[in-house]
Amino acid sequence: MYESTAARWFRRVTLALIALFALFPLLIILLTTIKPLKDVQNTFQWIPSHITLAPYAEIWSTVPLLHYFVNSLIVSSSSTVVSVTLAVFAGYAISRFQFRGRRLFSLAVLSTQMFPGILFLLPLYLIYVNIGRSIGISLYGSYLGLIITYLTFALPFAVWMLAGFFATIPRELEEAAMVDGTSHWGALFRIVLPLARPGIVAVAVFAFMTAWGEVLFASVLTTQSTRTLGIGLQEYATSGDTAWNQMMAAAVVVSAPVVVVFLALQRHLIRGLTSGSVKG
Amino acid sequence: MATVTLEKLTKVYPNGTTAVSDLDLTVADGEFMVLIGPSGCGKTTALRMVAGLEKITGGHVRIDDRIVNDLPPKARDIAMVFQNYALYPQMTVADNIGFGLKVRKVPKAAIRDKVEAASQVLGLHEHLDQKPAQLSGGQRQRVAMGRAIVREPAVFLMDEPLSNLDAKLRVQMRAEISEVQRHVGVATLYVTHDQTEAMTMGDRVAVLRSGVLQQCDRPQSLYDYPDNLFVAGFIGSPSMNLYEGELSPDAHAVRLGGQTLIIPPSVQEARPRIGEFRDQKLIVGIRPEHLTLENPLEGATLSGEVQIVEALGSELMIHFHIDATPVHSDEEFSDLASGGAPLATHAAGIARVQSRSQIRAGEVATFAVETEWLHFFDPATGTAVRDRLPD
Repeated sequence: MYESTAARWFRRVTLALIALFALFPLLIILLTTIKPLKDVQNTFQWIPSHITLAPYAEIWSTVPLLHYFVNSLIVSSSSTVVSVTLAVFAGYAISRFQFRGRRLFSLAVLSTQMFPGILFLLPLYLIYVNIGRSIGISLYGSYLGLIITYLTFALPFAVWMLAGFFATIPRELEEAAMVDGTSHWGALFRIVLPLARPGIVAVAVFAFMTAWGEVLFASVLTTQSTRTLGIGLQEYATSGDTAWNQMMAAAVVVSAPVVVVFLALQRHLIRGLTSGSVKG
Repeated sequence: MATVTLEKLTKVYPNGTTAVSDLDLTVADGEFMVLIGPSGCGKTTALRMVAGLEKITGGHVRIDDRIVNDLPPKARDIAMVFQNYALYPQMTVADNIGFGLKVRKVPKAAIRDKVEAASQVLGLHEHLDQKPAQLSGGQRQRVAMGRAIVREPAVFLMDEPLSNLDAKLRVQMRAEISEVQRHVGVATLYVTHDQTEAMTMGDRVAVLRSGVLQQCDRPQSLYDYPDNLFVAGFIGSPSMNLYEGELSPDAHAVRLGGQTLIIPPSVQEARPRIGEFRDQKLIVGIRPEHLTLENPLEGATLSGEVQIVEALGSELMIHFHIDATPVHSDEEFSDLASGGAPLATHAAGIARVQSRSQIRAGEVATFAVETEWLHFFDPATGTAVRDRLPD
């Protein structure tokens, strides 16, 4: 496509401005993390007069950040693993088998996406408390409770997405595998799942990120011992002083795992593996 | 090495559709059996039932006298070649071919040797380390065949393996598949809708229609002695000319519109049943190549107005029109059986003659009819009128 010089420069400048606009808050955050608190509370300086890395060290003691980190890790990983595992089997069943109630099940799964999540906050809290009182399983303030909550977000979406993904994998591949000598399970694990990797990874990343960054439900359903990072970050703002630089530093530290996970798994999201296996 | 026997094989879907109905078929050891029929006739369903990919509603499938109805595909000692190859995209050609062996825990060295041997037979040696996406259609088809051969199964099942290839490649692959099958000597069940494949590759051909077996015979017998209207119209291209005629009271001649054809005594003797249709409607069939432009004899001619002349280089296809009512041997046949009028679709008959003729559209052509090759069919049932001639 021929692009005139003017158009090219216009494109470059516009994109640069948009990028700047998006990255600007990140820049401010990073700047704030390396200033001493007094400088932060003063008038804003583009170039910090004093640079210090102390906030990155202090964040761990001001607030039990490591503990919250571990909590978040446990909760997010668990809900990711469970939702992906269940969704793989459910999605496969929906896309491959005919069974009574299949349509009803798919519609039910899809319909959960219609509701704004916040609607479930109060009902979930009440259910948890009641279960705790009647059966004695403590869901409020426990890992399990939060994990189950995140499952209610991630699982329907994962099932729906994976069902659609499996539908794009030709059935003949499993049939060929079964004729070759695998059982149905063998065909699933040896042939279908490797091909479905991009979809599975996408679903896993989504589940993890949703859980990691979730604040609302975590604020209601956790106690001090199970508190996750989302609300843990708020504790840098005490009734006295708000340690802005530490809060920013903690935010940076907390975001790191998600970025790392995303970058590591990025190559698995590359499609195009199935082209050529089947004609047309 | 085994035989495959289908006994009253039936498939009825949960919604009530019958895809295959009481199919009886035997494939001898080493035999190449072709299942042919129009789309939706149940041939692929029958094949999948033999493979174990489709549940059997009624009847049995035997592989070497062993009933395999309840066995999963992997326990039936079969290998299958799919219409769209179904190669595992994430594996190399070598791994694709060797997958079945790997699953059965054959030692690595043995797998390597067998894959080598198969790749030599199929000309895939340079491609062993490539992925399916890098291969052409014909090469992928060969990999699919390699995957089947290497397992040394008791039965080969092939589901329209050539239908996704272009015409030229199809001709080549037809020969290759036939040769490989002969070389390996395994009973093969081959599904196709292409007549040429059926006629050239099959030891025997089974014609299916709406789930019901119409006729199973050697290709030439199917061509020369079709058992019913459907087979007559289905086998042979261009298809047999079929007209509604009237048999004379003495059964010596048949009227087609305003013209009369005399039935030779030899033909009459070979068709004892024809006597039942004296002075009644009878469907007459003439293959295009049995209409020539040489030496028309009295009582063995058919004149018609020429509509189109197609010159093919080696022969002429002359589309002509006579005033007899044509019969369409298709699904509309059920109208005939229930007493309705036959649908007159393409009104033209087709004659296949030598290309020396100068005949043109609009002229009247007089064809000599090779009356020994007249076919007769019962208008009520569509079955051929004769007692079966010995092979």
